[in-house]
Amino acid sequence: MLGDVVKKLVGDLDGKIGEGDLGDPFLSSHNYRTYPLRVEHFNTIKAVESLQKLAFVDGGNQPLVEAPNFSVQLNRIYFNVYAGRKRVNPSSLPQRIEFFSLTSAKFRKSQIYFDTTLYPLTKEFEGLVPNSADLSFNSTDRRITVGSSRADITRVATIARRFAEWEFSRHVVTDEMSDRDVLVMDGTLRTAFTNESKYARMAYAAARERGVIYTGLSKSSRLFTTTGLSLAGALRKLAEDNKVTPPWIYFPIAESLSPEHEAAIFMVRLNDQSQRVFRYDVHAEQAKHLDLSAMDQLFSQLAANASDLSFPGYPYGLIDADDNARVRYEELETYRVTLLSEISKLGSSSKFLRHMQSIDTHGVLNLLRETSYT
Amino acid sequence: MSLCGQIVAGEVGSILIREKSGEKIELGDLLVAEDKEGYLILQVYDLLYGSQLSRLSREQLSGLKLEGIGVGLEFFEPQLRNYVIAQGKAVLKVSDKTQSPKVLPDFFGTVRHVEKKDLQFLSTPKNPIYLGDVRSGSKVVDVPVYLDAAEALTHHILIASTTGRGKSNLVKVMLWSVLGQGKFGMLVLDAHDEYYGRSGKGLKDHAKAKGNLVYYSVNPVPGTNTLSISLGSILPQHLEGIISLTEAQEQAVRSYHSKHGEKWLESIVRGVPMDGVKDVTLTVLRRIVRTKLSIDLEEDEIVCKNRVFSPTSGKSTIRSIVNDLEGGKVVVIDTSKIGDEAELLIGSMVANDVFAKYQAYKADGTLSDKLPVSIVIEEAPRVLGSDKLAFGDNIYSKIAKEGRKFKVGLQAVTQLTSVIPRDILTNMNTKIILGNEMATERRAIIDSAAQDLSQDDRTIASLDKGEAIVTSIFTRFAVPIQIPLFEDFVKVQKAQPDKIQYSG
Amino acid sequence: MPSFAHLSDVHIGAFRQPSLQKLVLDAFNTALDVCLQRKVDFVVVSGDLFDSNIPDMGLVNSAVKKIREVRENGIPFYIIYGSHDFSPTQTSIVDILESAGLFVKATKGTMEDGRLELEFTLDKQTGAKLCGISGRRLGIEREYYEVLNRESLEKEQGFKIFLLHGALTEYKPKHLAQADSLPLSLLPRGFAYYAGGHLHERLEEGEHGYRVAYPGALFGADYSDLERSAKGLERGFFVVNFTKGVEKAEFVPVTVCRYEMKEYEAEGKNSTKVQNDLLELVRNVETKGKVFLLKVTGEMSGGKTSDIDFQQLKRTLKDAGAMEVLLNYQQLTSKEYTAVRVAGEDIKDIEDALLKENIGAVRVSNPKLKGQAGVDLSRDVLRIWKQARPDNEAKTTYDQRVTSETIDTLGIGEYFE
Repeated sequence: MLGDVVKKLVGDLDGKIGEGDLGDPFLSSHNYRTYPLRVEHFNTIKAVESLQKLAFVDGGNQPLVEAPNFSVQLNRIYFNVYAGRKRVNPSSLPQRIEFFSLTSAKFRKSQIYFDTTLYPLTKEFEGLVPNSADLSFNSTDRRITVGSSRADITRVATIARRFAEWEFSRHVVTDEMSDRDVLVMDGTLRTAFTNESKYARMAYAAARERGVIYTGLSKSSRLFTTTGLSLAGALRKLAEDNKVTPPWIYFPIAESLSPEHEAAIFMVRLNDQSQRVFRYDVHAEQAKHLDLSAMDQLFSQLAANASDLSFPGYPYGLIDADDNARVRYEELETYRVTLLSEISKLGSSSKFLRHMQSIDTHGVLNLLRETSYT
Repeated sequence: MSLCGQIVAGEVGSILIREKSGEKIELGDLLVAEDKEGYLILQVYDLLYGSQLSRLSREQLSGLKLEGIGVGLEFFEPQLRNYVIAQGKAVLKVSDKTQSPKVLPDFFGTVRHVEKKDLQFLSTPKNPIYLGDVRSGSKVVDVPVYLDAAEALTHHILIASTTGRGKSNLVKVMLWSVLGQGKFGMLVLDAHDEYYGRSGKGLKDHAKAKGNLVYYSVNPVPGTNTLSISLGSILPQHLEGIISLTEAQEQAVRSYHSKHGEKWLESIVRGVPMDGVKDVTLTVLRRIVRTKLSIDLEEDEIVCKNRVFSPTSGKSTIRSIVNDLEGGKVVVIDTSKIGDEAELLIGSMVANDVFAKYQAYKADGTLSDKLPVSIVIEEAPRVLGSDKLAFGDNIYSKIAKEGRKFKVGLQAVTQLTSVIPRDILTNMNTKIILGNEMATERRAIIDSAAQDLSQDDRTIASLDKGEAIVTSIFTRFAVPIQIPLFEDFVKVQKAQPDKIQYSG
Repeated sequence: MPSFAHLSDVHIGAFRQPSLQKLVLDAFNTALDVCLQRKVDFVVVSGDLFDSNIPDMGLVNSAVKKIREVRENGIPFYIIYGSHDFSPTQTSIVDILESAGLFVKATKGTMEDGRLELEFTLDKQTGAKLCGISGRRLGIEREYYEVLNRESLEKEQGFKIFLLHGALTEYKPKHLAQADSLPLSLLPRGFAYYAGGHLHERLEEGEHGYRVAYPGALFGADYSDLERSAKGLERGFFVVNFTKGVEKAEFVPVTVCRYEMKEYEAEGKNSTKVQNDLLELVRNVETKGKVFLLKVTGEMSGGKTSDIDFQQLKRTLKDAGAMEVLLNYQQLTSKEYTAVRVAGEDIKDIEDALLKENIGAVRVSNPKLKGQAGVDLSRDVLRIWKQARPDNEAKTTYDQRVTSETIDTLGIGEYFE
């Protein structure tokens, strides 16, 4: 019986993924100008000597204590710089910054607002984090709601990290980079939240001034083609059918027309040993002025950085940045204990617990299910 | 010296140190973690691979490389992501004094290789026996390691190792120190004739050899003594634990001795009948004497095939040896050409005499004026093995258990520590451990060591020739040493002879 | 078949008692008479013919008469010094008699390139070849053996005799375990006969490839020798018949007197009882014409040792016709007067023990003065000082001689130059 059901399912699935017609890139039409898929838009990446540096930035965060009306998170932003395969030590900027963020619900103007205040862990980090005033959101803001429900405080609490990535990247550009260097953020250059584009523009401005190329690379892409195929899959088929030699770039996919996303979108396959294709955003203005030589240099450097044995095709700088920016669960306990003990000293434990218990059912269920491994 | 690692985790007895890339930390390395009061000395007993990548990933990536896939792909910053973790334990805390460590080193503290200045507490004792220099891993630190002869010899020493790891070399190096002092009697039963230096360097090359070294051999070198022992010197009790006899045979031996005195053994060999002794017992005894001691009757003459025992000569040999030992000399007896039983018998005769004398000295209150005496016995299980002692103690086991009270010590060399009973092992207060491939033997040594060596199984298994660990109640920690090769270590010290004038 | 006589340790001049001195000479004369009777081809003396380097001239005179008689019968004497008749600086009586043609010292040799090259002395009559090393203080003797070129001696063909004066480690008796000795390995191999001296008991050994013979003292030189003789030890010398090798070595006993010995245990008895017992003893013992030895040992429960009139006992025995009386009461002690207890039977042992004890109490840095070396040195010096001044020697000469011998023995001559 099971065999028959699976057989039917697989048969249907196969029918739904028809690669006969790859289609063209599909993005929401009013924000983007898309370009048809053409084999001529593939360019094999050539290995080119260059002194260009690549900086990679990534962030991480984890909640320490949570309730429907407040959330305390530990946030971390990290950067590294590579010249070819060699790491370049920072000259002045701390390589990693950490800060707590406290997001709490406040009733204002007949609405619930989520306000976030940032607490850098050291004095050195103070000038490197965003302004807390920019981190206030109406709980009904469409950019943060999911469906028609009010925004979840956890989701809002993570926004501070994203803002901090922009802000820290700006400092990386000004303090550690020079002309023709490239900054690569983890993720696309699309801004999603209120005030986020302000930080993006500040970062772009700094990059423009220094002559630094501002880019972002996404781990995953949910872009489609007009025939319902994944864009990455379609491009791979197109490249295979036409024997395009990897590593390659595919450009242009689309051009953003929205101020929320000042980027030209590329798709890249950075290593011949890896099948993976990633979405790569380049700041739109800078992309326009990238001549062939500059593009060769950029992607040659990027491809060279994407030749680590552990994850070929994905830049090592982002592997390292992800590793060092990640806030691991094991680290939280110390902070959590400090926080809770301070709460207890205030004599406010009962008050906090009353609110925290409203959302920790999942946690309890998880505990019940937990298997420990030794 | 620059740092070589950093402490990243662990607990007491298992401190994990990440090795700095390029700095090869070795098994047995001594590392120093400094703190406010001084420093801790750590010893590495295990090495593990550490990686930021999971094991499955590494195996998969290795597959890529091995199968030729992944050409041009390498690890970025390999030294950051793949590294060695050294597992070690704190062995000593050094501040204004040395003490057993009771704290963990600072978390995330750096460690460096040990240097000479860190080991200044290893001082030279009053009566030094040089063993070798401190060893950290395979590197030699220019700090000599000594035992104090006055204490170590009488508290007994066990040298444990399998063949070919340098135990004879060690004994030679130790004897060299003792020879120079002339204050400690050492009896060496040299089963391979390797200590005197018949051909090549040996103890004979010491400047004090003329006055302090005595050598006996059935084939003596000019100036040395012939190994000749009169039959009359052998007493029934000397056979205890050396030659197994039934009760009837023991009784017969006692009877012969009672009747014939010094000629008891000769009477047995000659087959002189005795009341109360059956013919068959006498026949067996004769056979035992012939096979074990090579003494037989040929044309009415007593002959000893190994040329050691004699009915006439060598009457004063045992006494002379004992006198020499009392006088602080090193007496080497070449037993390479005689059987096991004969060798052990000679040792038993001397040991019995020495022990009895020293017991008497203690009784009359003169022991404190006497020089300590130690007996070096190789292949110690021949006399100290559990099976041998099942029927009762022999002089060697007696010395092992009680000798310390009488300033008589034992230096036992063995491949098989496991067969030596625990109560004897615990009396051997210094153990010098050389390489040993056999796990049971390592376990036996570890279990009886003066310091906690429970983590050092691998370290001991990896000891190379000439490398050793000294664990003793007289050392602050189990000291790893490199024993010098005797031939390199010894500079021939022949004193310039005075010009002799001869006048007939 | 050729033959030779092998004597040693005659110790002419030993003993204070004229009767004993005479007995020593009697033994010597008897032995040489046997040599004459048996027409031996030569006589070998392996040391200590005399008890000191300059003994009593009267005794020397008597001895020389007999030696001359033997010499005139065509029998040569081949001799080495012993530890007693040797002097490091002074001329020894042996040298004088050698110059007079009575002896031939079989110790010819020279130092060449740090090695001692001994030369054989050839007995023309028999073709026997003799060589040897005299007795000295052991330290020096051993040095000679250590540099001896054995190989050249071993290569020599013919019937060879090696003369030595000293104990051999492998052959010394148990009670001499602590005595200085030479290991066999220092002797050249392959000699037909090793003529030993210094041991006062007969010893013959053939093991380990060396045929060694010690005749023992011909009569004796001290109390303990006489005691052993009294207990039955035979005194004498060897007559050795040889061709290419030794055919027969016969021990020829020499008896010049009879002995009687008594031992008395005084333990737990008071001095009066001891005196009475001893008197009783000496009255009842048959000693006419004998050498009588009395040994008294033990710790008396009361009284002093001086309460015992040993001289009276002696007189009684002498009056009864004893040839000589020797009393040994060194080990007699009294509870009331615990003098220094020293283990030892005769004076030499006691002296050694005392010296050892006292040297141990003195802090010295010079190794020659420490331990056994110090004891040996002290003993040697003491022996020099114990020599009575001969009647025919002027006091100043005697003083100078003793002084210079002492300086030489101590090895401090450079300070007196």
